[in-house]
Amino acid sequence: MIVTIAAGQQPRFTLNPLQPVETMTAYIVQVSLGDTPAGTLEYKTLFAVAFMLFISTFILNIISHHLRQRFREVYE
Amino acid sequence: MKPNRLLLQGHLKKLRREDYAYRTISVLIISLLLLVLGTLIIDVLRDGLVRFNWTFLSSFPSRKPEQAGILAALGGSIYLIMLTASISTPIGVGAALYLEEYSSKNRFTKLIELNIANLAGVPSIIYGLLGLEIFARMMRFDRSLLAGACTMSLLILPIIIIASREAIQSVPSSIREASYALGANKMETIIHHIIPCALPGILTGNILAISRAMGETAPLIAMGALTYVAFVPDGLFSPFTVLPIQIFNWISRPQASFHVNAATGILVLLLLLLTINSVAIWIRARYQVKK
Repeated sequence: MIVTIAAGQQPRFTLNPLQPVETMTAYIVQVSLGDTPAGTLEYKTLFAVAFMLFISTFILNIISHHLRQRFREVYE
Repeated sequence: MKPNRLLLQGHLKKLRREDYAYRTISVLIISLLLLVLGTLIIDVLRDGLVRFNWTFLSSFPSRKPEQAGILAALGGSIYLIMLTASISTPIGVGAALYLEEYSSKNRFTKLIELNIANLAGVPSIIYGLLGLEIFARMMRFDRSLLAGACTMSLLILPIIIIASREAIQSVPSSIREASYALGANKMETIIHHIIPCALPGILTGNILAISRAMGETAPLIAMGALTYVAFVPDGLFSPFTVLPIQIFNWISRPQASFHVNAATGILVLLLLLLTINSVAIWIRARYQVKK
């Protein structure tokens, strides 16, 4: 939500950090704010984007789990 | 003897200098953070205090910024938080008790633990879409207060479970053993000794989780909470809006006077959060004294 307000809501593919962009979260919020009837293309796109978002955080979580396992010191 | 002592003193001096530099950097960083926080609060106060009065608190949203108020969102937030807390606390603490006291350590519980840690890191908007599909559509709660509270409960359950487990882990095993030695069974041990002992920690986790639920907007927007509501929710199945959604709505309008309303809304949200947190801290302090 914070990013929705601060990073702007303009879908644009750029590597320039000074330009407004749109994150996946912001996209979902923006589309959900309008009316999206169940079963339409927009509705299905929401879930596809959410799936992408979930996969990316899932991979990050798995990596962090492995890092924790490797570097944790066991005192016992 | 003498060169050695000189060497030692030089080394000590160097250590002290390093220590001093490190402390200075730490103090600088923390004051920078406090400065940012202070600027934010002062900015909100300056923008929002103008409209902070009883009329603002007791009127419904309106197209005219001077007449718009926050009653519907305030009522919605309070109802939602109460419902969320009463759904998520028993489930969360129950799950933590099971994982700590009853479950055996095998692959299955390991999988559950990994999943809980993973769920705690999932972006909140995904919970919103999950709530939309499961609670709003499959269970036919529609865009109601109950669907919102269920979604929020899912969102904060991992936090509650992790915090409660840590609290239960920190109960010394001597208390458990003493209770068994006096002939108590497992349930009596848990109810009379482990829960009271772990209560401050459990409450802290719950307070943090519920404060987080109060500030979340994205899942509720995805789930379909309304942005324009001119009534206070009157039942479990009533449509609703909450403070952060109302603030987001006002901020995204072009008129400057709505931005003032948004600043005042932020003030109300901050006050509500502070009130809930201080009540919870007061309760926690009472339990700690009793123990």
